[in-house]
Amino acid sequence: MINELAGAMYTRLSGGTALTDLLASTTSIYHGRVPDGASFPYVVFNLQGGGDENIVPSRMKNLVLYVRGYSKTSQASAGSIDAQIDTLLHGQTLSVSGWVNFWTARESDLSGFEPMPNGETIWNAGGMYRIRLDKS
Amino acid sequence: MPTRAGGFEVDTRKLDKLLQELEPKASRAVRTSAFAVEAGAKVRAPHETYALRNSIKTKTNYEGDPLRAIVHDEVGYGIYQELGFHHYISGQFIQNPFMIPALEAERPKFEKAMRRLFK
Repeated sequence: MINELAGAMYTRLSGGTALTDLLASTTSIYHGRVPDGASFPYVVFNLQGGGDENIVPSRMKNLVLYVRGYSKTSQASAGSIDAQIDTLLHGQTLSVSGWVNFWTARESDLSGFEPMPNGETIWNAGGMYRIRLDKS
Repeated sequence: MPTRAGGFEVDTRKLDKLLQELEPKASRAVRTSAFAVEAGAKVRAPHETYALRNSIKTKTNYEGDPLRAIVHDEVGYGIYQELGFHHYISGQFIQNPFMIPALEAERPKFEKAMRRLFK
């Protein structure tokens, strides 16, 4: 299921040209692991928590994904990436193979920065998205 | 106590008693779940020196509210492990979430415990 959800996330995010126009390339979207030396700006998403609901006989998942953009330009640049991510995800329906996505909602906003020793700053902006799936 | 509503007098004594009994039970559920989140976070926390793991603590009755509890760590880098960071030398992206996974694992049990209070 993680693979199917990751695939659906990648398809949704990489399909948003308004988002990919802001990134280093159309493939600068990573699931958890960012390749060393990857060019900025990029998007990272990962499973931050959650699992099976176990409240009904059918199988349901209640998951939290952390999706954010990283930029070396400015906080505003990271914020613009985040705004496009939000447009693509909040209240939308993902095509997750073998599952029905009946809930996708942003729950919290996060932003910050990392000052690096070489004087650069890495800015980030994103949010936690709750995704609920029902086994189809 | 009896309450007047329009031309009716409603005897809310039973309801008042239920409400009185509810808070201590809800408080117990909050505390139980808070300590479960602490335990879950400690299991999941990345460890080399165990400083992060050992720093994870729970405060119950937070700010005098029996229905509030917080689970937190006391090291400066905990938030970076939770949300991800770029290594200061290699630039490698690293992330080891431990708090939200623990919270989300406990969520269904907490919701069930709270639902039970109203049965």
